[in-house]
Amino acid sequence: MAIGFDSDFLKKLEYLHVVSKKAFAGQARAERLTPKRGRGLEFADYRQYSAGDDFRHIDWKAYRRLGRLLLRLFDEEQDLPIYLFIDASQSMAPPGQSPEKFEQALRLAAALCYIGLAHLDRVTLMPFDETVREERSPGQGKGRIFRVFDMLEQIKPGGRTDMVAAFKNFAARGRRAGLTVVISDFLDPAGFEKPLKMLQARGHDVYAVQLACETDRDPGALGDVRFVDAESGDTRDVEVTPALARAYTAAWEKHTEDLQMFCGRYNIGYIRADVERPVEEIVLKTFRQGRFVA
Amino acid sequence: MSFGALAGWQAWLALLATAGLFTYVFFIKIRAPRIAVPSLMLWQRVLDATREMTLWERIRRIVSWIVITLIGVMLVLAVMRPAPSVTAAGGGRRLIILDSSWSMGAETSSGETRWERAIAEARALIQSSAGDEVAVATTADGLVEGPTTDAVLLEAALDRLMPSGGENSDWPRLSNVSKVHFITDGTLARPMAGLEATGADVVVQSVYESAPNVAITAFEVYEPGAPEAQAEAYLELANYSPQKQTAQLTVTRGTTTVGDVAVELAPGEAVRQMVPLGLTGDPRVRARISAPDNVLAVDDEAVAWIARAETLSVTVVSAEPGFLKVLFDRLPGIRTTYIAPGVYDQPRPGAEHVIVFDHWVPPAAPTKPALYVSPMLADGPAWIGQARIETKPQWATADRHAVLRGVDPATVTLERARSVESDAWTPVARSATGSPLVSVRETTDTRAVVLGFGLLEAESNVALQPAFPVLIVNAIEWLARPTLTGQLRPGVVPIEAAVSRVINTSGESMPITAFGDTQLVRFPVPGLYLAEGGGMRTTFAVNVGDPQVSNVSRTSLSEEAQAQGAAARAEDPWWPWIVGIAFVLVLVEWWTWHRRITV
Repeated sequence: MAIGFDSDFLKKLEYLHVVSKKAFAGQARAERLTPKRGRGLEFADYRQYSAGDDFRHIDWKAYRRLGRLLLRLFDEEQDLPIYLFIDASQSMAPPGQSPEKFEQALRLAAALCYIGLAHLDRVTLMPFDETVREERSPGQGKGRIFRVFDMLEQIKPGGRTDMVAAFKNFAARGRRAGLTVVISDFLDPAGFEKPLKMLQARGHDVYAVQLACETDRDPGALGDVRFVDAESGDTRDVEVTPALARAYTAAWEKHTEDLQMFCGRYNIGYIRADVERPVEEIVLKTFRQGRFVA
Repeated sequence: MSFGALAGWQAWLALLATAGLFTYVFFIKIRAPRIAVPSLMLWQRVLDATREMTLWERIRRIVSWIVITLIGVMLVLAVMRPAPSVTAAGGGRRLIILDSSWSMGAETSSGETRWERAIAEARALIQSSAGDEVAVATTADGLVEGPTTDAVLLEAALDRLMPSGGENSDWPRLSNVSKVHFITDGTLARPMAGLEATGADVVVQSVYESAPNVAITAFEVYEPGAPEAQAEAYLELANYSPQKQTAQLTVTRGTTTVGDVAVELAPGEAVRQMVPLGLTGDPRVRARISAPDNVLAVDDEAVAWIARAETLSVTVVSAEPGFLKVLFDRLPGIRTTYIAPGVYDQPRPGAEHVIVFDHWVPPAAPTKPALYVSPMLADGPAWIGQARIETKPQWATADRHAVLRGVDPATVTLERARSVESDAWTPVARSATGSPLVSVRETTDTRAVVLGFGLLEAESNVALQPAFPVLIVNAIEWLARPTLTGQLRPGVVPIEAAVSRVINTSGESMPITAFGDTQLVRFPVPGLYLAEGGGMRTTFAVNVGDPQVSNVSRTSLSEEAQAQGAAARAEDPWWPWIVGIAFVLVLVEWWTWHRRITV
């Protein structure tokens, strides 16, 4: 699959930046405000001079007025660590069906990546299934977007979803806390609550982007059907009646509602991104409405 | 079967083919289309929820809940050991009497003994007493425990009880008893009228079951009075079974086997044997019988004690022992020491059982059993009594005392009698004029015998008569050994007043109970026992030896009572059934859960 955006869309993305509810310490100087006080341009505060402080930061005007040596403090601006968890399990592209959900996930990841790169944020691509696969960091600067496209195109769907194991694996790598975006259908038999809480407990600012397609929401067939689990291969013979089909749709809606309510309760950003909607609309409209980007 | 349309083989072939075809058709199913879905997770939830909502599923859930509750209730019920409630009429006390006769030790076809059955039935009665006061008694010991509502106390009492004879005791008495449960095998020869006279409702519960038995029904050692004679053991074996049996009889003396023979016993036959035994050697004699069909153990062994095989120590205080020395030197089992009256007070090595004073009386009464031969000299001490002298007395009256057993007074001619007269002495033989010729004294401390005549030729012809050794041996035996007459059987037995202690072979003292002039001791099991008292000591045997006990196939119970007992036994305790049902329910619940039939 070839991923690419037109130049208009890319231009629009350059004006956006990812909103983080927390301030995280970065690694290099960039545009993100950090909790640190340092050598930025924005004045932040005064503090009493103490021996060893740089004379150049003493406010001599204040000394003349108050007779006290005060030191001027400035905000430190650094890059923001952004981790893009892309669900690359087989459920994102069931065999025999169009991999639209997986492609949508890659496109969204590419858009978010470009927004981050444009603002010198440190973006890391984290495809996962039962574990976090190879960690890919394209670097900083919007010129790296083509490298991002290459990286995303190399990700192939496969394996089972196990977010707990994957996020445990990520936590064990000792990465610094940052903004974490999980792009997934959240159809994990073990549930989505524990892994999302696990990320939040590590200090990350978590966003959940739920992908859904028509085959997720609707059984798509009536009568005797043998459903095959895309990940485990388990089968289930079901006589799909209209009532059962409605019950399935209701169950899917409830699953979505549960995810949304859970995210609301734990201050986790939630965005629903159906594959039927174009990426441009999702990013420019839904992400904005969800205060994910601004 | 025949077929009108086709030949037989064709018809069968057609039937088989049709069955096969329809079976094939039955198992053919249209292959459902396969649809890959991202996850079956949601479908699982939907189907579970749908299933839970159905009426059938709700019913199954309720059934499962009931089954689980039943499992718990049944397990708790099993722990509580439920039983049908048997309440005494009028709500009064209940008395459970256990027949403790020896025949209750007979094994039944199920391997347990009649006694164990009786105990089990008593336990069931206690458990079903429903708060009534219950008392437990046995035919041997009377009231053992209660009346009480404390089942633990009653069951502890049952644990202590064992068959112990008691065929001759009275019925236990308890006031305000509404119902009496008498658990018996029907061998007790005691009229039920005494029990029914209390006015209580008497229920006889049978534990009887006909069973074969081979027993030693009698075992007794006969020790003749004559010095040279041999002892003989009288042995009686009986076969109380409907089949002929070959019993192995073993007779041992101490640790030595003196007989080991196989005895053929016809059904109902009793074999009697005399086994000669020497008077010297180990006094312990034991007979044991074994047979293939033999349900009662207590009558398979019998013991005896040859008293004369135990050496008696006798000290003769005499200036001229004469005929006494001739006699004692020839008596086996008696070791005699002769001393002169002048050295009586000096310490003597060893301890004598009996002292014989010949024509002399010590200044103070001896503490040991003593035989006084013509003691009344002119200067005799006062403690012995007043002298009464008679010339040529005629031996006229004789008591049936052990000292005089086998003595023929007609052969005795007395020239002069020098007897004693005192309230302390009891004459057992008198002259025609009433002079005491033979007197005895028996206290809790000692025994004494006085012969009111001498043994010299000038005094009497006794020493030359057959009565002489018999009289002297009788006197020595009576002085040295308490007489326990008759065949002693386990249970409560009266003993002589002179006996102050009874010890079993383990050295444990048996409690002695005094009722007025009578002393009673309870022998719990057959065996050898030692009795002491009055300076005497003797070993004696206690054996069951009773055809009434050994014939365990007889019963006085009616067939109706026996049937009731069998029916009562058929009522097994409920708790194993309850546990079984609970286990089955657990299996059902486990299986259905795994089949996803229940929740």
